Amino acid sequence: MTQDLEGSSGSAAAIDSSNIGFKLLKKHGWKEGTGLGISEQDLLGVGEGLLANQRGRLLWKIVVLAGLWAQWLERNRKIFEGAEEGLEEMWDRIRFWGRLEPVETYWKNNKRGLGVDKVKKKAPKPPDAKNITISSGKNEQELPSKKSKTHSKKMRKMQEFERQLQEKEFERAFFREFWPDNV
Amino acid sequence: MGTERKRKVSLFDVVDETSVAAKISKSNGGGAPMNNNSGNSLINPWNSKPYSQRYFDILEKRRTLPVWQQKDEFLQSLKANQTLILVGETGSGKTTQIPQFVLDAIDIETPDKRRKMMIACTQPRRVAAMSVSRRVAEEMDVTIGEEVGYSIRFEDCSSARTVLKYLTDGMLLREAMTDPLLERYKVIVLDEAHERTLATDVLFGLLKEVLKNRSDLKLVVMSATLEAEKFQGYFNGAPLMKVPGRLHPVEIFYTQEPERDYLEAAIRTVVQIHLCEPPGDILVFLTGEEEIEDACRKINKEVGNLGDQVGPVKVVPLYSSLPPAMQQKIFDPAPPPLTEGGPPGRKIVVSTNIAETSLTIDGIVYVIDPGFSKQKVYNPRVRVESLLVSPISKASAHQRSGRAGRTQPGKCFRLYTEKSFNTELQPQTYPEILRSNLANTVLTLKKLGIDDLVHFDFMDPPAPETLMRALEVLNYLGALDDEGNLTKLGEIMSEFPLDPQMSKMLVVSPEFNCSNEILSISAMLSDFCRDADIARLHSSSMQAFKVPMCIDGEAQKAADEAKARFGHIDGDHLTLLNVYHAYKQNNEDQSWCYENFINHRSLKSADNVRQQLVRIMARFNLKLCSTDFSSRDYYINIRKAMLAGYFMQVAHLERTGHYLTVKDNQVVHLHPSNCLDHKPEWVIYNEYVLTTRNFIRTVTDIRGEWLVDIAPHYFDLENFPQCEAKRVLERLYKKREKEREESRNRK
Repeated sequence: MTQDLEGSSGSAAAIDSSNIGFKLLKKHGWKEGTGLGISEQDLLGVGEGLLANQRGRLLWKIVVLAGLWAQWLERNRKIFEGAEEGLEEMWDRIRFWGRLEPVETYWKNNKRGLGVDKVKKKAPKPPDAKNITISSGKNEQELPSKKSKTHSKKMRKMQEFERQLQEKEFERAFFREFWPDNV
Repeated sequence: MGTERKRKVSLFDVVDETSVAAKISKSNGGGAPMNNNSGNSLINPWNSKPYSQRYFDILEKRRTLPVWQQKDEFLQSLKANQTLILVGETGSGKTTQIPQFVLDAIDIETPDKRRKMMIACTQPRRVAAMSVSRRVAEEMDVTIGEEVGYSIRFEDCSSARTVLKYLTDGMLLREAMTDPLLERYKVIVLDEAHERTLATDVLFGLLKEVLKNRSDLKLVVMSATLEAEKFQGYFNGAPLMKVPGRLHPVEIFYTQEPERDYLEAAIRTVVQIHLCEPPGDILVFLTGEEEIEDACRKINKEVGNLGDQVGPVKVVPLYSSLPPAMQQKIFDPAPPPLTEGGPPGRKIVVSTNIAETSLTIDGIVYVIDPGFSKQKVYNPRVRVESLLVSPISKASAHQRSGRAGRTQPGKCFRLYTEKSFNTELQPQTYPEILRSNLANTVLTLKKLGIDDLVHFDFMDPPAPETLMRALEVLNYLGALDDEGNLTKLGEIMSEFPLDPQMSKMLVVSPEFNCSNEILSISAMLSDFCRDADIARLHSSSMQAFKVPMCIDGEAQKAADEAKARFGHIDGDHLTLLNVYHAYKQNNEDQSWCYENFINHRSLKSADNVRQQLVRIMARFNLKLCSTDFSSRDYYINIRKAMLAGYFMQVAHLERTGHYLTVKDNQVVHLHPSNCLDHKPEWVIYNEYVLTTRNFIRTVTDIRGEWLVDIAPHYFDLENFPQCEAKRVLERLYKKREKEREESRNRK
């Protein structure tokens, strides 16, 4: 997971403790593994004083809620978009609220529109599932074995529905016109 | 197929014209006791002159602005609270009217009556501060620079009589450096707070402290809707007031499939609108200058191909580096039909995201939004700050679509799917503080006396590594000691409204006997960052030449010719110096500039910047000096002084022919605009540009020996990653050691 995080923020590694900036920040009262700002630093008091003060308790609640919220988003994504999100990504999302990592830099040197890259990744899947029966069977076999524990029947149904919609969308794309004739 | 098209009517406030009129008449007839004396009197209380007819004409129009309906409510709320959050869509008139309301209602007399307290209104952009203050001076029937003034970096247009001052957020931060409690102000209005610029974010934390210490100070935070609740939470539940914007409904269209090429899709959509939609101007959002110019050409070509069947179009580009005269063109009306009764003409504005919030163009009915903009990002791990094309946020998309509903119901075409909108766009753009190099901010905070950076009340705390980098840079520059305290040098550096590297170079330049030249170079470099107040340099030496003004093939020719005339083979910084000297020698003549492909306007403003910097130098008794021009050391001294500031931005030529940045070991290339005639072993660079390749721009040749002489603490081999540069440095250190021994032996 740590590898993944490093990879996402460019090739360079995090600033290590030999760096003078690192040392200076520590001299300013910063502790490793924490973020900056009033609330972040108080969180530390929680670890040490074990929820001794009221504020610490409140903040601890926030952390727990942030975790729950990330899980909720994850759940929604699973249900409504059929998206599979790794634990890493979810963890990433929790960390965002605490901001320990720098904002990711994003390179773009083409004119591709939003969402094109994702479609490209997904594109080979639908024909697979549609045309080659063997592989689709394989898919179905594989997927439940992975997910059977995490997905209820209802979820699977919804996923199936989503997939159907996607297939239809593929057909529609044939007749795609940004501008209908009647405008 | 019509049913497949996705339609959504947005949730903008739709203001019913009749209800507005009713409310206005009510408020004018019944209430506003505070306004009565100023409204009915014929004498302007600010300058004791009778009001002109123009004043009353404008007043009539002002009263129809949406904020006027809530004037009483606002003033009551202001009276009762120290902090107030005001939310209003663009077009509500909040920027111009609210400070005037405050002025009417708040007692700004000081006890000794000699000088009045002021009201400050901050703006993220210099242009906005200037243009808004002009407008407000007109509305108040006073002269700009007298009762109403503005203050931006390198330009102060205010006087002792000023009671209302528009200033950039960066300027207010600078003022706080000398006046920590901001005692000259009675009310501070932070406008456009939703933009979350670096300076605004720092001001938030700072003002929160100041408000605790000054119970008489009031703060009004103004924002466009979206993050208002977040502000409320941050300012301990300050009351929130909403002002409706004057927007018409906007219909939003998404594409069914993601676009392969958003530029091509945007052009296609423009043509489609022109062919099929009723009259109304079009606004297209693209990412940068090049792309915009390209799109303008293509649109003209495509529409030209359609022949006389369609109306004429006027395609106008808009980006911040465009000269003001050209920018004004966006306000021109659409062209008339070619023949009487023929198809109507259309104006097409192709713009960067400056048209998103800061500039309002009336008459826009169609907006095309490809979903990208250029955003500043900073990666502390590789120490690179750059402008990169990134997907916009949902909030931006919302702002963009809102631009279509200014004058009549409009349409917004988003060149991405609704699913992309929902899943791929983040809700808000990251605030600038998370995307910037904070070296300058840390220096400012230290000067402001905020030593506990770790617990500073950031609304969005930056990543620890960003702060580490900032502290590291300042420590290497000598602005902070090893305990993190501000040094004497750091204190002087903080007074310059420039990057710390540049300030350092200026402060030490007298030691190299070339402060006059370094001043000119700094002024030339910093002139180009017009929009950022705490200097962020997005410049290139070639911008001094008016290359963008020429047409394709000619541009290259002009650049080559200009290069031949002024180019200095040792580096772009020296080329800039040559240009400045030549400009001065020719008495700043405009036609000379034109003949020599030089941008007169940027040189004039560089000259102005230089004068301001000279004043700061004088304040700290930094002497102005030059090496004799005929001396061999003339350019060497300049290059050494530059290295004293920019020793952290050095690249080394590897045997493979690539440049590697020192310590970070990033592969970089010299930007093609450079003036060097060879590939020097060591270069310092002003800017790192991330595009398809990594470029370093504005480079100058330096010698390896200088590195070990001027910045041994940085080129300390114990703390150095293994690389070719390290081995070269090792040799250089040994050489120096030998020399020292030899001289000792001689003695």
